[in-house]
Amino acid sequence: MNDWVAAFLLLSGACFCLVAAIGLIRFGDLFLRIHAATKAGAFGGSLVALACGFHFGTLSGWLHTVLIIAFFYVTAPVAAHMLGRQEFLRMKRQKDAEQADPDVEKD
Amino acid sequence: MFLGITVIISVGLILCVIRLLKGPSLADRVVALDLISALMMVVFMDFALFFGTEVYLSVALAIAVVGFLATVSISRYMEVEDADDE
Repeated sequence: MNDWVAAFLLLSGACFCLVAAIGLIRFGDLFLRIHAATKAGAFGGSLVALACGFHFGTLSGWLHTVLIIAFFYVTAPVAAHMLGRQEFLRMKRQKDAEQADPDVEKD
Repeated sequence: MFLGITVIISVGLILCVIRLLKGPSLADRVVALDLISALMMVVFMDFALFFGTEVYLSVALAIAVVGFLATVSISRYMEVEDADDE
């Protein structure tokens, strides 16, 4: 029973990771790419970690699983937020510069 | 089974490397590197299931803990660099 649950979780997690990579290559904007890579990638990784917990079934295995999911789900949005914030500030600064001086060339 | 998972993740890694090589801006490449670290974590968990030892789970845990530091530091660097250009 546990093996079937682990196999299902492993396959769906790997498919989520593949979807994240496809989104990274197909989307046309940086914010969309961050959205695809962070959400689907973190969810797929967590599903595979759950599969490890179900497969091993020991205390050590479950502890590793819980820690991986907790740390990954805490740190991945932080990284995505910092990148999105940097891009947003850069766009805002560029827009302000254009409004202040319309003749300036866009880089 | 595990070989199929490895093939799926490898296709994802190849797509990430393509984005890493042709990404128009530096931030796109950083997103690709972030997803590559996540996919490497999945690869190590797949190794743990394939070889039947929990040792590889510790590797995945280490990647999960420190994997975001590169992205955060690079984005901070880009922010400061842009502000200095003004």
